[in-house]
Amino acid sequence: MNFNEQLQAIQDEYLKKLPVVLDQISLLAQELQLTAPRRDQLVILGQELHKLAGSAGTFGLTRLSSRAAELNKNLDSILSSNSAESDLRNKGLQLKEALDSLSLFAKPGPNPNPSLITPDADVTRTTNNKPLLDQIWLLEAEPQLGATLMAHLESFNFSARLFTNLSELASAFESDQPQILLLDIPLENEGPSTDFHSQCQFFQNTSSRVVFISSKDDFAARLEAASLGAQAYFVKPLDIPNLINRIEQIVANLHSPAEKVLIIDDDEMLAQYYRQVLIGAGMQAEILARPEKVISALESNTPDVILMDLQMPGISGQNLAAVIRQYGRWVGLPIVYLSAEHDPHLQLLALKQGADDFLVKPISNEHLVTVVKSKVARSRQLIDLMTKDSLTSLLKHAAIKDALRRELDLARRKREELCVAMMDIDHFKQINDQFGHAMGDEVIASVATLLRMRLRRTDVLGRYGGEEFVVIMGNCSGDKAFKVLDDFRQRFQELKFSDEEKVFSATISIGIAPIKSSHEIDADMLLVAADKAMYAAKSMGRNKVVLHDAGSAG
Amino acid sequence: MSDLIRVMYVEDEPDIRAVAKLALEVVGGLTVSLCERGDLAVSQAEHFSPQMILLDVMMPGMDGPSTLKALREHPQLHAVPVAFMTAKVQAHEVDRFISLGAIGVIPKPFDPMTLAQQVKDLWRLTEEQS
Repeated sequence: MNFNEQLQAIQDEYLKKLPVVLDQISLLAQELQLTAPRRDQLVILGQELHKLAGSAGTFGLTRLSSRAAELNKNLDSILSSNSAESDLRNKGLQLKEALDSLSLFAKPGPNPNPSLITPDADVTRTTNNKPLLDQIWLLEAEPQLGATLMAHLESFNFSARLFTNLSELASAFESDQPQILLLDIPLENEGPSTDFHSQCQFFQNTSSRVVFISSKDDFAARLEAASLGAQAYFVKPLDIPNLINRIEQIVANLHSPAEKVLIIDDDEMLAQYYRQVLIGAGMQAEILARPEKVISALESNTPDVILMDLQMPGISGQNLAAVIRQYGRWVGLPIVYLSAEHDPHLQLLALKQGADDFLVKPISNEHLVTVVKSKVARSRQLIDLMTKDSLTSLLKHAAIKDALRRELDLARRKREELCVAMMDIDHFKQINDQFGHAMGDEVIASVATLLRMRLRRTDVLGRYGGEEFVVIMGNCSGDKAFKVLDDFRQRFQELKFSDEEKVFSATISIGIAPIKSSHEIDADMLLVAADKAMYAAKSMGRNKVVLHDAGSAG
Repeated sequence: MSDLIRVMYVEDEPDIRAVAKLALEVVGGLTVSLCERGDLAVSQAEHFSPQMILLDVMMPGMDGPSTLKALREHPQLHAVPVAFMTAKVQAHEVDRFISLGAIGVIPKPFDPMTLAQQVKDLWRLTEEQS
């Protein structure tokens, strides 16, 4: 064995043991939930984190190393702190959550040689203090359109870079790659196309998402764009808000939370192996060795997909799937069977009984990851369709109310503050009357897009009705919510909308109802309080944010 | 100035021991003796007579600093240069390790490709100073 092979062998050994180490850390982290955590347990937790910080990077997991070091520091500050007990508990709970997701960092850095430690992209970006904006590169030869698009992209908080020709873009691509490529290039008999595909080669196998802008709307041009990897296609003259909305959706997909997988298999070795493969692909995976515990496991883990062995001692996969389907909540949960069964009839039978796909062992890692990812993506799409408003992709009325109940429960358990904001576009009827309903929709969609840009990813956004929106901001004081939403209000009034003749802008009125964790207040009362504050903002002349007096919020 | 050949590494984590040995021997051409516990380090060093000792800081039982103390009190081993290998590399932590008598600190996680060079650099500095 040469050096690299030997190194690889040690690395494999290490990676095999890593899940156990991470589980151990999770287990110790449970101590942080208790009102009186045992100090000796926390000291052991610190030692485990310290070891992980010192070792993972040597095996290529640089992100895991630095994350473990960071969390160890947080733990140290909790251990040595003199602050109030409630404050410590909050910090402890936050740390526990962070520790539970430590496995997300167990991915090798981008360097293909696992032995070389190079700071990976994420770390470099934060240490350089560059904002973590989503990068969009635009290829646009027309100066006018280029400038307009750049202004729009920047106003929506994208970090945008303009290129005017393909070769300039290609050479920049060698050193850096954006999240999104927005390309206005001639397609199919618009220009010379013989070596066109080879010129486009550079973005074919990257993680950048590609969006095309074209003056052609025929099938041939669209097909060519698709063959070049286009995820979206927009025809000139451009509907810019619609374009931004789509880009925003693509970006949201890029940031979607890791897929959660529940593996039900009595073969523990194999289950561990699958888990490792899935974690390596950036997912979260839990193993359930005892099928009879499946319902409680579903309730505590809420997975996106189940991987299930078809033949387990004492219970068949089909029957277990049927039990899961007896619960209304889990009717739509994708179930994928794993089996050594080659008989196509038996496979079909298994599919008839409530499963979505069938993987025959041995399964290649790539196959496993692809099937799981696509099942999750599909099921998330369906859930989105059911719960989200089609114009804005925000939660619908009923879904945002459900979300508020959940967030309130969570805030109470974690003893955190929470704010609900209700907002309403000012004089919306006039916009509709004067510029038409299509323009009204555009204004509504921009509120949604701007909210997503300005608020934290953990804030929950909903379209409450017509031109009314609800925002739930967990772990956020009234003053903080006021600052964020007032900034949002100002930015919204600066947005320019235009139809063929006129340019106009719109304003929005916002009411905020904050609660402290001690307040006994239910979701409906909180919404009423936010609504009252919003009407106060309206009566004060509109385009204002009003913070409901916390004392009277109950 | 003599060349560094014999190095002893005291570390409780088996994978880290294995990768360090590989790195120091194959990349650095050194002769390495591994030891998994602080309390065994002294007697092993007596037999192996290393030119330099690398110590993990956090080990169960006898930790790195205690091991260093035991080495310093040993008639034959008291002058052998010792470096710590640790993830605790904040300035005040490094200062403390130096004040205990270490010649330097090699930060963890280490890169297997450059570990040997880091060890040799520390060795050369000590040789130049003495």
